[in-house]
Amino acid sequence: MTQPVQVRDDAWFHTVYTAHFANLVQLAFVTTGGLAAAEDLVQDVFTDLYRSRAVVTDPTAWLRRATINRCTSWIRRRIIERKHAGVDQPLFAAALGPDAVAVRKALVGLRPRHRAAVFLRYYLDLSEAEIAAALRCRPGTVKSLLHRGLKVMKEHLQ
Amino acid sequence: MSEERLRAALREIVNAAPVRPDPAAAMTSARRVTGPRQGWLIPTLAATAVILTILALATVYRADTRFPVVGTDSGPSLPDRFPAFSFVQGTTDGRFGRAIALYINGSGHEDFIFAQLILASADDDRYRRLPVPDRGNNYVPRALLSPDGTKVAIGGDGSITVLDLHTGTSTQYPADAAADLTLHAFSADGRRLAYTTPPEHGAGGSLFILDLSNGISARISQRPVKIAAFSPDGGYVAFQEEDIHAYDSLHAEIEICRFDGTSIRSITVPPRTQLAGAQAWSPDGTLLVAVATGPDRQDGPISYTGDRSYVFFDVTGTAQTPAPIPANDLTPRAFGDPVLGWRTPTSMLVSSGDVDGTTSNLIIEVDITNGSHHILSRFSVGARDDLAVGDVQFATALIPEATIRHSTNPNRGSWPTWAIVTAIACLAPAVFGIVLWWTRRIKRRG
Repeated sequence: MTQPVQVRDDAWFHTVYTAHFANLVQLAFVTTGGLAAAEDLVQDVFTDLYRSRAVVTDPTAWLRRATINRCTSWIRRRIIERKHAGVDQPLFAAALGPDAVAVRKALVGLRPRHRAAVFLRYYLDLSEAEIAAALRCRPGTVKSLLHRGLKVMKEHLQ
Repeated sequence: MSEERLRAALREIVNAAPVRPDPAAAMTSARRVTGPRQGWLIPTLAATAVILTILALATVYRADTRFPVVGTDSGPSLPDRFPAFSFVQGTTDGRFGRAIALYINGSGHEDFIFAQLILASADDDRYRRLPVPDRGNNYVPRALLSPDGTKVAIGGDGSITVLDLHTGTSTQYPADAAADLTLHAFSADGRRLAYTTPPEHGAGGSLFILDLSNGISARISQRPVKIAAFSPDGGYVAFQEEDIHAYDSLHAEIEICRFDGTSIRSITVPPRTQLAGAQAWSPDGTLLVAVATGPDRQDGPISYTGDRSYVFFDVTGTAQTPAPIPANDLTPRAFGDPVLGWRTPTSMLVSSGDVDGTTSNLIIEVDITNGSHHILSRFSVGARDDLAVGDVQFATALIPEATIRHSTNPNRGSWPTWAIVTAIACLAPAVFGIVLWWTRRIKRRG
């Protein structure tokens, strides 16, 4: 018995967008540390999805993966910008509790992929397999990313 | 910090960001995009570019090998500058067209094993390496360029190969010896070749004349001959025999014979005087040129070779012989015949190294009536200035009418196969790496 072919029209895209936009912006926000940048990046990711909607098999994993990759590129560019321009872009600032402040500082010390792994595991509560699909790596690598990420965070938190 | 506190802190951080989905904005921007993303485009273009480059190189290489220039509207020309030695010198399969010069580039250094036999075009600025059998020890077998520049004769073991530069076909002529032959001269009409066999083999260094029209070799001398030159009318050959007891191993007589070995005349020359090579005969046939070496100079414990000069001998008994011309700076720097050809009946081409203070090999026109001379052409000095140019030969029948062309951008042809293969082998991993990186980048982005 064959699966019915899903029509990927604007209505489908609207549904996917509504379902994932917020989570992806949160993921991008944790990874980049900036809300405006996070919204821009996720918007770009959805633009890409619209282009590639005919060939994307698992939109959820695809969106997470694309968001993390865009965030990584954005952070790299920002490091170069800071290095040459010497000017830091203002990031989103909000009143946070002491634990959140400490965790946020600890997250800054992580690499983007470690940050994304921590978010996917401890915020979205994804399984290692789902995180592996989002990061396009093996489950063993996810374990390693989480282990190293938490280790670095603990050093900061202590 | 416990896992629960970590989760709570993360939630607090994330929830602090006021995220609102804005489908309208997304739909607006998405509608501006039409069609799928062209992620495959750049890798495909890169791969296509690599393939096209390889095909272009292969095409150029193939095109280069079939570059016959059969006749040309413009007259022959001699470059004012020959290119320096290059490892990536293109070769010819023989279909080269009319050549103005043939020379060995990159010799003169005992540790350098890449000497090249180079053909220079008479009609344009092309230079190609002529592949010859490798006999080891950087030994390039002597090749002779025919007077009209359309043939090259190459000496071999027991045979002589004559290559037609228009068609690329070669004809092999059996020689009267089984060993390595030395070619000496082409007759003015290109019909005959003078060669000798090595002294320790076969006929013992005797001079032979090979008639290319029927492939028959005729022995001219019984004793070893060192130098031979055909008369301009093609009826005689002048040669100088070897004398192992003489200071310079040369017999002090120049013999002139018919091709059946009949002696016509014998000219006695002073000791340490040698016939000036294959072009020693003046165009009007009245003079023979030789290089005479004066007595050695002793300066304390050091002995210096005596001064050299061009001396002239009357062949007909009626000509007025020019005065000797000092030749210390007018003889080949490495090796080769002292006289390379004649521009006019009274001006000859010689080769030199340092006449104007440069280190390049020079082609100089010398007026034999008064000894005045000027530079016609020079060989560029490349990255390795310890390499020499040797055995420069000209298409002597083309030299009188040849113009001097200004050469600024020599065409060396496509790279040799080994260089193309090496370049591709070096570039391919880099190109492959870039394509792979780009492909992965596209995939990672979705």
